[in-house]
Amino acid sequence: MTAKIAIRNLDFFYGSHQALRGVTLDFPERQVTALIGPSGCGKSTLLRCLNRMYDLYPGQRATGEAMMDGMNIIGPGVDVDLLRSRIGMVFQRPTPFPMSVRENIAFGVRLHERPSRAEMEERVEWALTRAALWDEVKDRLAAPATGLSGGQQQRLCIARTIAVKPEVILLDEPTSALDPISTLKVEELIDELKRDFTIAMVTHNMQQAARVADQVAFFYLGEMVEVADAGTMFTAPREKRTQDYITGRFG
Amino acid sequence: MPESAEHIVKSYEQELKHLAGLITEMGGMVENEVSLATNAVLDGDAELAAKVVEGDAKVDAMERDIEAFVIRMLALRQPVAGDLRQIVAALKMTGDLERIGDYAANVAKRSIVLGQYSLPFSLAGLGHMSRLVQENLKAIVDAIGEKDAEKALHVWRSDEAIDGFYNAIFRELITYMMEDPRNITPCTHLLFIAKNLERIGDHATNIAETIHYAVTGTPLSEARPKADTSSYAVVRPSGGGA
Amino acid sequence: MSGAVARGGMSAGSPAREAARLARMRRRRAWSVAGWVLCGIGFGMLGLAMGWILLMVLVRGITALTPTVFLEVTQGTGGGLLNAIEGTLVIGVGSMILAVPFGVAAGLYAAQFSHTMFARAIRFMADVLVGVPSIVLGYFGYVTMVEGLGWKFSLAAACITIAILCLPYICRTTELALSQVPAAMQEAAFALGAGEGLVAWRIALPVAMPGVLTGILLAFAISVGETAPLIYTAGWSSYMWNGALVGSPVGYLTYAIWAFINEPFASANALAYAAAFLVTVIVLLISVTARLVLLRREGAR
Repeated sequence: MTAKIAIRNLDFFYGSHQALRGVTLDFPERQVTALIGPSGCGKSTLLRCLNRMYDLYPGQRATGEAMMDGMNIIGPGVDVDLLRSRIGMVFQRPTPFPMSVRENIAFGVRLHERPSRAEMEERVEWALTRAALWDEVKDRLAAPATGLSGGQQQRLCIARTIAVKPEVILLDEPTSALDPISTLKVEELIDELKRDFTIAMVTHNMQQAARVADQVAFFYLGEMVEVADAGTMFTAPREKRTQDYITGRFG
Repeated sequence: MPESAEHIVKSYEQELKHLAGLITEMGGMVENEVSLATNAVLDGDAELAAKVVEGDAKVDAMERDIEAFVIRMLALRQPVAGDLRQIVAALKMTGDLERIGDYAANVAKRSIVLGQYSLPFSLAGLGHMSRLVQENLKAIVDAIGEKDAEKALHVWRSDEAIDGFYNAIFRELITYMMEDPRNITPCTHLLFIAKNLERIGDHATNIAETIHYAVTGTPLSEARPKADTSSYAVVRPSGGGA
Repeated sequence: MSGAVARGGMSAGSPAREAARLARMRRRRAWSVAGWVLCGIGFGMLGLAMGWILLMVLVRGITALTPTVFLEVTQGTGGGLLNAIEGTLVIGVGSMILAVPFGVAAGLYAAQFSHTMFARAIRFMADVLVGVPSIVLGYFGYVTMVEGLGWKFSLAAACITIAILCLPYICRTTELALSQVPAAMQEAAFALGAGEGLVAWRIALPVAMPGVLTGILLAFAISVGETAPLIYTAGWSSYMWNGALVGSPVGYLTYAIWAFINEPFASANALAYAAAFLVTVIVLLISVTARLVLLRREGAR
C-alpha cells in the first residue's frame, strides 16, 4: 500500500506551546485513517497541518516533513490555495455558506476553474450524487442551504469539498453534531468515498473509528502512540496507553 | 501485558469481575466433577458416580448463565481490546468446561457398568493418566483465575504426556481383549474412559490457548506437540501374521 | 415536592438549622424584592421620560402639522418646512454615501484582521471619535471647510462633517456583526482554497449584513437628529436646495427646532413643534426598522 501522505518527525507549535511532538505517520492511498485520542491530544491539529489551516493564525507553525507526491506540504513555497484544492476539509459542525444549495457547490469549483454553465450544472449534480444528497435536494437547488437538515447540511459540505475534486479529504469529527441515522449515512458515504479519495478522519467515537477506518492512529499528549489496522487496534493493541484509552480506563 | 487500570465506568468493571468470578467458579465445579468421576472408576464407587451424573446438570446450567451474561455484556458494553478478548474468552472457555463436564459424567456412567465386572488386571496406568489430567485441569483453572499466560502455556505443553499415557493404555487394553474375549466389554468401557480423559486434556489445552490470546493478544501460533498416535496403532496377535 | 420532603426531614433533624435556613430564605427574598423595585424605578423613569417627550412632541406637533408644512418653504418665521425636510434628507443620504463605504471597509478590516496593529488603531480611533462632542466636529468643519477651503456654509461641508460623525458607529457595528460570523464557516471557505478578500466579501459580509444594515440605519438616524455640527457647516437657508455642493447654505429640521422655539411668534413656535415631531417620527421609524431587521435575522437563525 503506497502512502498518499507521509509524515515524518512533525512538530507543531501554538506560539510557545508544542502541540505535536515528532509525529511520524503514513496515510495510505484510498484508505480511511482515523485519528483517535483524548481532547487536546493533537489529532485535530495534525489534520489542520495537512491543509495549512494554521497559516490563518499568526504564531502557529509546523516543522518537519509531510510529503505528498514529492512535495513537502508544510515546507516553504507551497501554493496554499492550490494545496487546499488538492486536500479538502470538512468540519465538525455543518457550515453551509449563506447561498443557495447550488451556489454552495459552485463556490469552491469557481475558485480553481472556469467551467461553462452546463459543465457547472453537471459538476453540481455529480458532487451531490457522490455525497448521496442529490435525490433529496435536486428540486431545491436554488433554495438557501441553511434550510436543509443538519445531516443534509453536512453531506452538502462533503459534496462541496469533493466538487473541487481533491485527492485527500480531511474530516474533523464530521458527525459529532449529527443524530445516529445521519451519522450512519455519513459513515456509509465515507466508505463509498474511499474508492476515489484518501481520507483522514478525526473522531471521538471509537465505534465509528472501528466501523469506518482501515487504519487507526492513537494520539496522546501530542505524540502518536500507536498506529495499526482497525482490527488489530480494537482487539489487540500493543501499547498499554492505547488499551487503557480504548477500553475506557483513562485516568 | 501488565494489569490494566480500573475502568472509568464502575458498573462495567464490576461486571468484568463478576464474569471472571463465574468462570472460575465453573472451573472449580468441573475440576471437582472430574476428580469424583475418576475416583468412581478407580474405587468402583457407584454412589460417587451417581453424584457426578447429577452434578453435570449444574455445570450445564452454569454454562447457560455465563453465555447469557456474555451476550448481554457484548450488547450493552460493546467491549474492545483487552475487555473484548476477556469476554469472548469467557464464552469459549465456558464451552470447553461444559464439554469437560460431559466427559466426566460419561466416565462416571461407564464406571457404574465397570463395577459389574471383576477385572483380572490392574488400573494403575489409568490411575496415572487421570492424575496427570487432573493436575493439568487444576493448573488451567488456576490460570483462568490468575490470567496467567505462562501457566497456560505450561499446561498446553504438558498435554503431550497425557497423549503418551493414552497410547500405552490403548495398546494395553487391546492386548487384554485379545487374551480373553470376556474382557472385551469392560475393556471397551475402559477404552472410552481413557479416551474421555484424553479429550478432557485436549479441552484443557483449548482453554490454555484461549487464555494466552485473552491475556497477550497474540494467538499461540506454533503447532501443539502431539503424542496421540493411537489413530495409527496396530496391535497384532502374538504368533500370528508376518 | 422534594423540597417539602427535605424541609420535613430537616425540621425533624435540627430546629436551629431550620431557623437559620428560614432566615436565609427571608433575606434572599428581601434582596429579590429590593432588586425588582430598583428595576421598576429604572424602567419607570425611562418610560416616563420617553412617554412625556413623545406625548409633548406628538400633541404639540400634530396640532402644528398643516399641509403648508409639507408644501411651502420657510418665510421669515412662518410658512412651511419643505426646504428643511428636503435638506435633512439630502444631508442624511449624502453623509451616508460618504460614510458607509469607509465605515464598512474599516469595520471589515478590523474584524478580519483583528490582531494586526492597523486593526487596533482603527478600533482605537473609532472609540476616540465616538467620544468627541458633535459641536467640536462642527467647529472642525467650520474651520477647515467653511473657512479654510472657502466652501462657505454648504452641503458638502455638512455631509462631510456628519459622515465623520457617523463613521465610528458604522465601523464598530460592522466589526461587531462580522465578529459574530462563525469562524468555522470562514475556515470552511479558506479550506476550499478561497482567498481572504473573497471570504470577507462572499461569506462574512452576507452573513453579517443585517447587523451592518442596522448600524447604517442607526447612523442615518443620528444624522437626522444632529444639530450642532450642522449649524457650523450647513448654515440655514429658507430656500430649497439649489443643487450646489459648495457655496450655498442648506436648511434642515433640527435648525427649525433650535431657532424657532424661542421666537416670540406663535407661527414660529408651531414650526418648531412640527419640526420636532417630524424628526422624532423619522428617528423612531428608523429605530423600529433596525429592530425589525435584527429580529428577522434572529428568526432566520
